Amino acid sequence: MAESVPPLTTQDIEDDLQNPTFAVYLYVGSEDDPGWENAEIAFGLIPRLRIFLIQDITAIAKWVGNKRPAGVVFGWDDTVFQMLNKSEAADLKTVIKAIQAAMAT
Amino acid sequence: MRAIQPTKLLAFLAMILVAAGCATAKRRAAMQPSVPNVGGGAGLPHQMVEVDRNGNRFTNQPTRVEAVDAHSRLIIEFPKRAEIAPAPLSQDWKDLQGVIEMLNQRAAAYRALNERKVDPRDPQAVKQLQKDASDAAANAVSLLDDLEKVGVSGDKLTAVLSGRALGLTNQARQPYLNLAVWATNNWDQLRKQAEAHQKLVESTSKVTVTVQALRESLSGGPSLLHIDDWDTRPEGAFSPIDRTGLRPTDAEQKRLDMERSAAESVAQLINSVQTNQDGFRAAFQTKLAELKAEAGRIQLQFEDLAKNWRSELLPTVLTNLDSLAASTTPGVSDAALSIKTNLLAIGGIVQMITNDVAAAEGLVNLLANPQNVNPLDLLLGNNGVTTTAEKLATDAQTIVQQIQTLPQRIQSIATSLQALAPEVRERVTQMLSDEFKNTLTEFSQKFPADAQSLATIWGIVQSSIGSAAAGEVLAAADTKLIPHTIDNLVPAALDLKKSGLALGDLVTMKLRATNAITGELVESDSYQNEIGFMGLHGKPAIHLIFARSLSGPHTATEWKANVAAAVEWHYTIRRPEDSFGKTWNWLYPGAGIHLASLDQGSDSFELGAGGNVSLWDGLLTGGVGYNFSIKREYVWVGVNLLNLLNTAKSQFITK
Repeated sequence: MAESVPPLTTQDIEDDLQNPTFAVYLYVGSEDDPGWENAEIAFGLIPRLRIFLIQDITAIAKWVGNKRPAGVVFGWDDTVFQMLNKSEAADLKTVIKAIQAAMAT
Repeated sequence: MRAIQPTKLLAFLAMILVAAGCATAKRRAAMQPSVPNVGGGAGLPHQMVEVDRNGNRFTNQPTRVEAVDAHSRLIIEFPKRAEIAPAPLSQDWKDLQGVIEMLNQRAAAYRALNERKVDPRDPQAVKQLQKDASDAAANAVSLLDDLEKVGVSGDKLTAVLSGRALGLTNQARQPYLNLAVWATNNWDQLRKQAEAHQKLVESTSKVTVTVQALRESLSGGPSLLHIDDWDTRPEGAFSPIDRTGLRPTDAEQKRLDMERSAAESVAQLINSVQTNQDGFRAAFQTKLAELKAEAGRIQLQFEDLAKNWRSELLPTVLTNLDSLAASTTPGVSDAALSIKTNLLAIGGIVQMITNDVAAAEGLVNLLANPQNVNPLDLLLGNNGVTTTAEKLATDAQTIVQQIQTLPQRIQSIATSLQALAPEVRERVTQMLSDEFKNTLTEFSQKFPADAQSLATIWGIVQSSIGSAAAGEVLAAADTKLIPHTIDNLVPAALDLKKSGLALGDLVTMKLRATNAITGELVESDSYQNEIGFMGLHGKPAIHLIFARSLSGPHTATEWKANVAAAVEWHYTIRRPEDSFGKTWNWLYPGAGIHLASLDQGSDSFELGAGGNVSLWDGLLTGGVGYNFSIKREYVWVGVNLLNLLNTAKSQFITK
């Protein structure tokens, strides 16, 4: 999968976070999770959104520290707007609303 | 006036304190802080606030009696209409063509925005892009809202948008296309849901809301109060209760007259009980016989149900279920946990019923030979009628509420059992035998009526007639109400200064919202408020006292029941947060001065005056003073028996 980290790296995420024309949503888990399916649907519904499947959480320690979120929502910069737990990330409406709120700020 | 033995007096006071302590503590506990909450839940959103004379706002709860300041305004507030009624569905959902067109437009806008080339160094272009993308995201949220209204939500929503509902895989990134195809295939179903939602929106706009305010007072019975814009009753006169307690309003004067009358009656009651026990007992006979008969019926029902519940099997079944709860076989763990939860709940209710067999039996035995028991012991003793019947009546109401859930629990167990092995099924089935289920069904049908009957008789014995009368007043007052539709809601404000209240009155604001089309009761909340003062304030009171002279002949130093008029000053901390404040309010200490009519010498009228202190809103009082007739100091202790003694006055006393 092209958006998976690894093989992509922290630097790849950072590059997109530095781009003010894209918002970013990170999902931490595996490809078969409902949470990742939600991320893909969000990608298909909302333009100018980048999504990443994080399989190694240490790759995003820079933004989440030692927390263990299932979803991390960024707006138009590299500031974390909201973290979602596993059940929140598994709820499509919660994910879409969080991304929309991040884009509106 | 006949003298009372000091030991009997102390025992009497102890009994009164036991009986009345809980009620007073509950009342004072109403001054503890409460968690702000908007009432209404899924019904009509609203909140009740108290606005004090300085404009400070305090949110009140429908679930408890709140202490409020007599100079405040009580207001029920509503949010904007848009937040009350469900939003109508977008016009796009009228026909399939509209939906497909809308989805095509969304998909085209999505593509155009993703393909738009923007130089990140051009802040204006970046800002515009961000705004357009944010709008598109808001449209996505609104699309999900619309889908929810037509019944596509939760797992179904993701299945439709990801294409799984169409049998497609790896298609999640084309939700607009997936939705368009699915909507085409399922248009009839979507249209029905859309029409149903539209009907809901229309019927919700026909909800009518009424607000009533009721005053309940020991001195004046129930009466309705005027709320501006919500009823056609005349506005009350401006009559704030004096904070010093020295200038009583008409309502306050009535309360004091009532207290005096009650205090005099109890002095008379005590003498009546001491001198005329036969007459006193006769007055009780009928009501107590009814109470005994009802308790007997309840006892038999409790015993029937308890004997068919095989509690000895429960530990083994629970152990089996615990081990199954760890199973990895699909469905088994959930089924085991569900059965365990439901069995424990049923066991809990049956246990409560089993425990109450003794309470019912105790009451029956207590009332079996009332003529052989001292009337005061019978009423107010540690295991007297007050304690026993109160517990039984309260438990009965709890049981009535709990048994409503039992059929559903039994059904849920039956469903979950299918997932378990035959031997576990067998054990659970033994516990829920047909005999038990039949008894339970019969109990569920008969018991609520008996519980209600018990509560009614006990209510009469307790002189709870006031509440029933209040209900009648409310029921009869509909013609003067001004109903509001939910698009025309204004705050319902009750100005306590214009309501002719007395301290200690209970003011209830009752909100009802009814769907005029379906007849459904959308909301019914009652907010109860006890009228008091916050901060430093005076409060006049009439006390029943037991006084004796500190010196003099035997007739002067005996404890005798008398009446004293007092003014006490108190300080109330509003919604305290620390334990000191909570304890202070709970104790509600007061200090003041009094005038007492005494009976310590040979004069036909004796007057004394002095200082006094009180706890628990005058429940326990004491004082010292000087008897001007016999020219000696005296001491007194007293209890505020207003509620109990009003009962005595109206129900039991025989002259």
